[in-house]
Amino acid sequence: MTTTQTGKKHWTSYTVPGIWSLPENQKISHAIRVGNTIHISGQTARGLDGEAEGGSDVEAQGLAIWRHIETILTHLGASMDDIVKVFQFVVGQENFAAMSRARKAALGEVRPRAVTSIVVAGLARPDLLLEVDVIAVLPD
Amino acid sequence: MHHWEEINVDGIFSYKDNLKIAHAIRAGNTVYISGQVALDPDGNVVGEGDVEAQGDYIWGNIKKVLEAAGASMDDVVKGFQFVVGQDNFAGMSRARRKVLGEDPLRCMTAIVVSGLVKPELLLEVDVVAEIAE
Repeated sequence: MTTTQTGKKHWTSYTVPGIWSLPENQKISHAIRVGNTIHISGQTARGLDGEAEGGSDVEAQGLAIWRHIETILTHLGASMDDIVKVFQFVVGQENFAAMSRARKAALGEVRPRAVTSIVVAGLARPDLLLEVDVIAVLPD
Repeated sequence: MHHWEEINVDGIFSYKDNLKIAHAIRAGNTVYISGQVALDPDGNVVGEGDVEAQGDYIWGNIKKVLEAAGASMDDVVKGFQFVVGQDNFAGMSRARRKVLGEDPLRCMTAIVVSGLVKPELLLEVDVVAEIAE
């Protein structure tokens, strides 16, 4: 697995061990930290073998995705509590509720975040039913 | 002086004034670019039926908008790609890889959508850039 990479001086790109990543020639990392802001690439339920964790169960895919996000944030010294914005992209309107259940299980219901959710026509592969992308802000 | 600045570039398609959409906004050192599509300045589709050609055109425009905002492709930290048709995913990625070149890896989110502003458009790309202090 690749390890953390350093980008230009004013931002740093991270590829996190234990999380599935695209081949390097795709030029996509898991996260970038710039100042106190962390951008995370849209995460799917792909495990290290490239296959979707949770099979065709959207909630199970969602729980896997949120575990990946937590691993990435932890690697960057952040936590789930630092998430300020969530984008959720789900395949199939009927999967909306399951997507939300996974998010609530991961983030808890106490502190609301800014969340945008849309139904999409598809993701990178037909077996992937959910993609989640977050922005987190670290305390000063 | 507003605390953020609107960036508009000649030679790039823009919506009519009453739609209130800028090519980009620079707020401090952060630049947000509106989703770019393969429309020429007259609103004609470029690269009809060819997602990679549309991608090349879009990334060319993104580069121009970034430069107008005082940024460069090196400053792109995050991108969103919206593609019509799962079969166009690979062509979309090829266009992106050409422009991001040897720079460090970036954050990217890519989804398949049912449609964009015109049926001939196969790709829309939106980026966030961070300029060095």
